[in-house]
Amino acid sequence: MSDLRPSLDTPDVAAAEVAVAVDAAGGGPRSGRRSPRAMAARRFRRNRVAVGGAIFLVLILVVAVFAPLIANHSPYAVDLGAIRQPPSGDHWLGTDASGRDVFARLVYAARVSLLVGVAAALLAVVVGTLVGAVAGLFGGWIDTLLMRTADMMLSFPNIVVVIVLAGLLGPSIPILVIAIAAAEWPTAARLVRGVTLAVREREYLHAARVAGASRGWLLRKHIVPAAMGQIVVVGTISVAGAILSEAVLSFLGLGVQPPQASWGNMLNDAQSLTVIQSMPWLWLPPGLAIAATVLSVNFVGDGLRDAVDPRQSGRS
Amino acid sequence: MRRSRAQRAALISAGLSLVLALAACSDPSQDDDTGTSDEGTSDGGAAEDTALNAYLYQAPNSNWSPMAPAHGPDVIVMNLIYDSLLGVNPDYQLYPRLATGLPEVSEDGLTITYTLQEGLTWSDGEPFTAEDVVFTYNMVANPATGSPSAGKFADVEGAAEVTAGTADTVSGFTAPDEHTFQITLTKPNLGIVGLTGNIFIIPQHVLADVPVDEMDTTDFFTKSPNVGLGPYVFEEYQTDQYVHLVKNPNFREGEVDIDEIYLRPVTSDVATAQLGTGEMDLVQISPADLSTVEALDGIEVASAPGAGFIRTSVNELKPYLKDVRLRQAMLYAIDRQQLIDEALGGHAQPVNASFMKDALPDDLETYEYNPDKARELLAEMNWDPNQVIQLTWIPGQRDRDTAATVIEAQLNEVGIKLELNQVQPGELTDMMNAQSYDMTLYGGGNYATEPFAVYPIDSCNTHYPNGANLSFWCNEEFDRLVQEANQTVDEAARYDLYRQAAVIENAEVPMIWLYNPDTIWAHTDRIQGFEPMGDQTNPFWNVQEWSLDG
Repeated sequence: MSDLRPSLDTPDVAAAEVAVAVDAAGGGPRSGRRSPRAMAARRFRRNRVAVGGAIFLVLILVVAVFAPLIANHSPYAVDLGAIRQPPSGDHWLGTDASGRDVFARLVYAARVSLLVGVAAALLAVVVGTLVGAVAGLFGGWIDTLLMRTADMMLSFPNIVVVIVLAGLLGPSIPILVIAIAAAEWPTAARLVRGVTLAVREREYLHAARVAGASRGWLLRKHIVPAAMGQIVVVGTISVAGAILSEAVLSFLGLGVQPPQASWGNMLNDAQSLTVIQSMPWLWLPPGLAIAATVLSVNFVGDGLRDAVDPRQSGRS
Repeated sequence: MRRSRAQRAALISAGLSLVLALAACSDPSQDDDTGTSDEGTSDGGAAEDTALNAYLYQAPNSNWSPMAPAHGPDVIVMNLIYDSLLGVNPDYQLYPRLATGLPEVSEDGLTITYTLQEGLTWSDGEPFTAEDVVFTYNMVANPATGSPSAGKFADVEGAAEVTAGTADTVSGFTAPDEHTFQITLTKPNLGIVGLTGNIFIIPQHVLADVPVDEMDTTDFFTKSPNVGLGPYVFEEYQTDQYVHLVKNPNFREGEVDIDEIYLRPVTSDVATAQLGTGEMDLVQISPADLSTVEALDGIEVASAPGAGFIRTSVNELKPYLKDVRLRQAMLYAIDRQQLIDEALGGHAQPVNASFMKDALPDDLETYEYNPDKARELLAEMNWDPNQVIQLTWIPGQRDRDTAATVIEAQLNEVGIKLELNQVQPGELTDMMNAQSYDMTLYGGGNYATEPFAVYPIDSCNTHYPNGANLSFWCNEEFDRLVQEANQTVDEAARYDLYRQAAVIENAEVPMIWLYNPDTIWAHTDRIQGFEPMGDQTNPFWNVQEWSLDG
């Protein structure tokens, strides 16, 4: 698994300032100029690769939502009379070792993979944002405690954390989501803390504080909105990481449990020499689905980053 | 950017040390077939070392003791480093190994006498005598050593005292002279030869000083069982990599031809792929890979019928799993014949009772696939379609994984809500100890050599952990028939009783019988003399007749 975290060290403050500028301007009185948000959207639209990725993701989403209409078989229907059949008019992508339709399983697996990917990334981002904002805003020992915990999580290899959690708590989809989120939240936390530290010292925040705003209010009204652009980018890239983690865990048998299909456990079914040599319909489609989806998510993430923070474009 | 000379030298040396480090990490046995290749001039006149790489279907538990609970991969190792009075051949007949022939059973059935071969020595040169046998049988019959097999000796004179802790040794095991071993029984027990004749004999001169209750954890068994009577001697176990064995210079049939054996625990998929690359010489393959492997150059395939079967237990301690009609419905609901024909390519036999061969009557209910009949039975017993049943198993073997998927789909089809639950071996042991599973899928056993082997998996007295009855089924009439059969000296009458018991078992369905799979071996054509064995824990049963071309 590649490390998909954006670089976190120096750009934090710069990014925060841009984000703050975005927010400050967006909240300010409208002049004839385009708002920064509209400009960001325009920059995103100009990025063809990112748009292509987005279109592909929408397509996958449609397939996942309308899976029962798209698949012409049940993904669980065992047919011992037709095992390991090559693709045909009836079974568009052939059948697996217990005679189940590979196309139907691929389509239904999209649901699981996207669900796990998005849910895990969302959980990671929410937890990370909260931890990061609280750490940045409160400072002191709270900051130290939270950030050292995050550092600790970051210093473990992601996949090992996830394997241990899945092994301890037993494999199931909620556990999978929690385990992946547990490995991903520190990225978001560190980013949001950086933004918070930068924003904390700005005049409008001092003003709000003097006017008697509570910390909770500051968090909701100023800090999280200021970091939102960066959070979206991190969140998007986390989705890619989470989809990969899900695939890896399911491949290892620690993720999505049979008979439910996920792209990872479809690949697991296809480890044997026979399958690799002579039954490409069993491993090519899920493999391609994972690759294409993760690539698209990353394209979209890169596009979003460039759109939100034009100063970073061309880097990474 | 230009690098200075010193920088370049540093880079080169860093690169070199990396290469060296990698070389150091690599597996010495994989270098080539000469094994100990670091002796330099291999083109000299000396005969080359031959090393065989074989597949171990799971990682060893590192307890190579006849008193440890049987773990297949450890048994494979023990079959190579130890020897036993009798062995089991591919026809599942007993044949003599350390004994000169099959034991003599007295007419009253109470005395069993083994005559041992003379002039045998242990791998360390010490002489082997009947005292070693008495020592071994005393250890295995003593539950204080952790032995789960003590129950097999219940009918031996003095065994009850040892079990109760009032005696240290079983008075019924004696050595009248150096080459005779005698078992004295309190009542006839015809099955005891088949069930205990193949116990691995351990060296008394090495183990005599080990306290009995530390026997199962002593270093000899868990680290280095390097004294034995088998064709090979234990060299080392590199955790999760390989078990390394070298030939025994004092083996009873003379030195074997193949100098070294490496047993490697990998998944069956990896092993099959390595067979193709030449890294593996002997592998047990899944029927699904048969045609691929047959197409490989220089690979030969051989198969033999198994002596056990794949089944799922049904935990009858759970109130909702008690009704016999539920278990019958399950058999009707699963298309076992098609599972055999399609998923296993016909390389398995149907099973409808645990007995085999002559102990199996012809007129058993065959439970042909009939989902309507299954639904009828379920309706009759008012089966609650919302009751969820979990099927627990250790994944990793292709045919079992497929069987689990098929069972799930077909039981749900008739209205039994089955959920699949994959676990690690340790977790399954915990569930067994807590009796918390609903159904478990597993396989193995040898019921072909001695029909009394069915008793431990079916009787009221052998509910887990006192035996291997994982369904907690209990039928007193069945127990009575099997016990009586085991005490009946007359063979025809004995098998008649076993057949009566089989009829009861067949009707009561203590477990969901799936199939008896053939064991399929694939090996390089460099191995000469290989004879396929259906017991997957003993592929090396005749290794002394093998040779390996360079």
